[in-house]
Amino acid sequence: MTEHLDSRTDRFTRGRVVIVGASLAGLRTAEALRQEGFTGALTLIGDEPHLPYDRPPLSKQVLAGRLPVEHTPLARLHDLEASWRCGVPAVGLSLADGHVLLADGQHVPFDRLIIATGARARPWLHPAEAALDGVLLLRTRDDASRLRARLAAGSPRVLIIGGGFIGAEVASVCRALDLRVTVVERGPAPLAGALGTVVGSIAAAVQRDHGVDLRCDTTVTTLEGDADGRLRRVHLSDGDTLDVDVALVAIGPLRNTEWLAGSGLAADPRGVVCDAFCRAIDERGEIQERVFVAGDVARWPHPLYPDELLSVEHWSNAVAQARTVAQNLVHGPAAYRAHTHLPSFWSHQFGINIKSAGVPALADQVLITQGSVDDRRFVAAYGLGGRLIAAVTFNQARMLPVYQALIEASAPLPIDFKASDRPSDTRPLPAGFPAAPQPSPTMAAPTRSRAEHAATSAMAMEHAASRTSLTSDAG
Amino acid sequence: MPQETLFQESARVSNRANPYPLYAELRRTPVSRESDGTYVVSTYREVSSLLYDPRISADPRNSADPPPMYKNPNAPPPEPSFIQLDEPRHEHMRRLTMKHFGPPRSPGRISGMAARIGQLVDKLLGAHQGRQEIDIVQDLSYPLPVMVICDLLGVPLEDEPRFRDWSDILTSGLDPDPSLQNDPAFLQRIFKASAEIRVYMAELLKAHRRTPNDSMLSAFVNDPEARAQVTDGEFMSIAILLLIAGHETTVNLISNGVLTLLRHPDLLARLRREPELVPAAIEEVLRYEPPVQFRNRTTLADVSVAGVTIPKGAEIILLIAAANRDPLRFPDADRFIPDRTDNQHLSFGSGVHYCFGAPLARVEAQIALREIIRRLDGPVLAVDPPPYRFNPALRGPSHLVVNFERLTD
Amino acid sequence: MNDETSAARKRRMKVVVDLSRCEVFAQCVFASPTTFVLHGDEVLEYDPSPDEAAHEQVILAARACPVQAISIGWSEEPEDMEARVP
Repeated sequence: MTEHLDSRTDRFTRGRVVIVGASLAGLRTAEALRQEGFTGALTLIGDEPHLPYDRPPLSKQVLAGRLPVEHTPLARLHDLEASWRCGVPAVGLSLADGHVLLADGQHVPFDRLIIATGARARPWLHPAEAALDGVLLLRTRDDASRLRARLAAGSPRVLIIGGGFIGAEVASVCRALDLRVTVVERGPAPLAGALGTVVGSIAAAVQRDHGVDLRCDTTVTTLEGDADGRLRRVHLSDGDTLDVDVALVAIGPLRNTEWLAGSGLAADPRGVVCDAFCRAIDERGEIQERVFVAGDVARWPHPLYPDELLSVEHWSNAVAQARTVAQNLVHGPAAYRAHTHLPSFWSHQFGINIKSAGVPALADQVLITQGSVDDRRFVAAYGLGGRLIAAVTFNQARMLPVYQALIEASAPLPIDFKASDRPSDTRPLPAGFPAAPQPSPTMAAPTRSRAEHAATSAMAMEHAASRTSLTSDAG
Repeated sequence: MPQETLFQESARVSNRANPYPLYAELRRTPVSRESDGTYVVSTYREVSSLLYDPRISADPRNSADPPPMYKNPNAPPPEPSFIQLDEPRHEHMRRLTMKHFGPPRSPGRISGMAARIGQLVDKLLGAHQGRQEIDIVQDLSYPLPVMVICDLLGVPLEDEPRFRDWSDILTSGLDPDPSLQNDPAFLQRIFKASAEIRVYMAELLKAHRRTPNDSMLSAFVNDPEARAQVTDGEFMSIAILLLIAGHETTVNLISNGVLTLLRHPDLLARLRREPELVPAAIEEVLRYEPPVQFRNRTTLADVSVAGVTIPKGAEIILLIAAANRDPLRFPDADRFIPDRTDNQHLSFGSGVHYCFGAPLARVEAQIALREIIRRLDGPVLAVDPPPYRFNPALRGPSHLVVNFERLTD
Repeated sequence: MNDETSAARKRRMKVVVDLSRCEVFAQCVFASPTTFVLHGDEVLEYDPSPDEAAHEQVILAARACPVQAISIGWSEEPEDMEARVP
């Protein structure tokens, strides 16, 4: 390697990098930066007064009382030598001046910035009802501690508003603790926003088998409190009124992007638009070379889903995107890698390990290819336009890798494996995703902004460029 | 007589000590068709993906050329154990058996055997106090797994000479040598051994039903859930599988480990200084010298792999030992690196048929190797290469004579 | 590079399982049944802050994972961050 190249590489391994967001994506990006050889100054900014912690256990074993919340801080996997600003949220960004503004008025200057502010739980729509004692959210470890205390103290009936994954996992814990629980889901089935109504109706049967009072196509009309401001009752759209003292509001996420208002970046409640290399894109559709985006807050283009910008709340994506961002930031444009991680997630509920690969929510068809729905042990394959785009397993984790490979190869659907455990009926069904945009892994805006357009077309251009030569850094 | 294929050549006795150069040649064609219509798969990516593939069957009844014990014209074929079943029956049988072996119902059973395994190793090595020679295979790596599996299952150790012969004969059925597979005398021996071991196991299971104890077989055959769903023939097949697999494979792992370390004295010295590296070194022995070199499967549908379409009903050989040395997967694949960090070898298989007994094999090998390394001062191989067992599928030395200066405490 | 933790702070073992990668072979449960627990057939739970008595077993568990989904890291004491704001 020549000296010239060395010094050029140095340009990317030095300077001041600020990471806003000190959860999984932020921490893993920081570690990956050091692992890739970044030697400059590293600052992490987080709004919570805790070390980065792992969220998945919060709605499962922490809530069930099997794991103390103090055990959830994330494992440190690499030395950081970073300075931390925890407990003080970022409230503003100036790209021109190159600094982040904190709530306490401090400016944190940067040469390059990584946005990893994630998402928060969407609060209950009526502020007065949301303020009732007993109306709770579940996203942070403090949320989990509060909900755990309520469940441990016992409750005549727990209300869960929203039949998504958080709602289902909490319902599962409630039943394991032998608490009565009502799940109110405004759509036709639980998990339907992510998995469609075909698999969602299986999830509904599982919930009912476990004694959950599941009410689909139903909404909460009023949460009613007593004179002391304590939650007492819920009125439902089916006309029923139930006595409840705990209500979990689990109606999806909001991306933490308010602090980017006025920054010029293409950021809204759906996330921050970035290109395939995870570089932020501004409102004019220009790529911001100095700003990268990782984790739940990112909306990025994926080669397997060309018409969409993906934004997911997946643990594995936060980890994978951290690596992509670190690689691209430290090694520079000549070594840029596209973020082609295949989305995947898992959920534990009612004794079932649900795993998913790809993006089921984009599918128009679904079929059960292996196993038995009655045994709660099966594989569902999802297709779009006759191509396999996702697969979901219930207690069949070891079957998923085959499907992952087929999704990555855009294999045709229907597939017939002649597998020994194929069900008698393997005809594809309409996948059954609600027509109205639910909080779902992807959100296609009705009209595409310049930034969204730039993100997807930049992917096409960069892919073309990567096939010809690596000259993008020649200037 | 058709010309010998590369795979047949690799399985020949004369190449037993080092089949790896031939495996390297085989990897040049990831999926190659043998003259008899068998497909040999030898590269990591392809072997790994086929181990997961639901179009691949482990059930010999789907095979046009099943193993010898299924060819007896005078006796009904034995019920397959779960290693030879496909979903959903495979999972069902395996889960009922696992109930008495591991999680979720018996999570601590295997780790709880560590102390007992330590005592057995101590006894076997201790018998060499004052001597300067040990045959690692005959004196340790064969008897240890036999004692452990007998203990675990509830099989009387004094019956070992009987089931040792049956086991030898039955596992020779895994030998792909066509001259063997077509030899009527060879087939008769297998039929006879198969019948005898089934009679033996039927008696043993009856005894466990009459007088239950806390052994695994006793718990299994007396479990009401299992009794409602498993036939007596299946109970026998599963018990035979556990008994044979429990001692025909771990012996190779321990012997191959000792052999490999004695060939790398610098690494042996390092492991003596850093015994905490032994578990990682065991994984590397598994990758580098897998106790099970290949597995046979059958296709349920046409399967395209690496540009080759394997037709439905074809016999496949998944050459695990070649895949483990694939340089596209492992840097320095032919080097033994005991602290290799990225070591996702395929020696216990993968997918739904992942080796049932792997946790037990690991505990035995970790303890045995740690103690051999610690206690033998100045060990050197008396013969290199050592003589090998006849079986190419279950590959390992038949004797491994080691000279040493003294046995430390 | 000198990490801020190296001298002054006590490191405690932490473990993390990539449950997206995990295929529930349950080899970790065999190796370290106090830290890793299987609920039902496929629901794997684990204690990310294992007891010191289990550390040796947890290392075995990580080694035994057939899909290399287990990472061992560390945490720092104290776990309170405010004290560290410069």
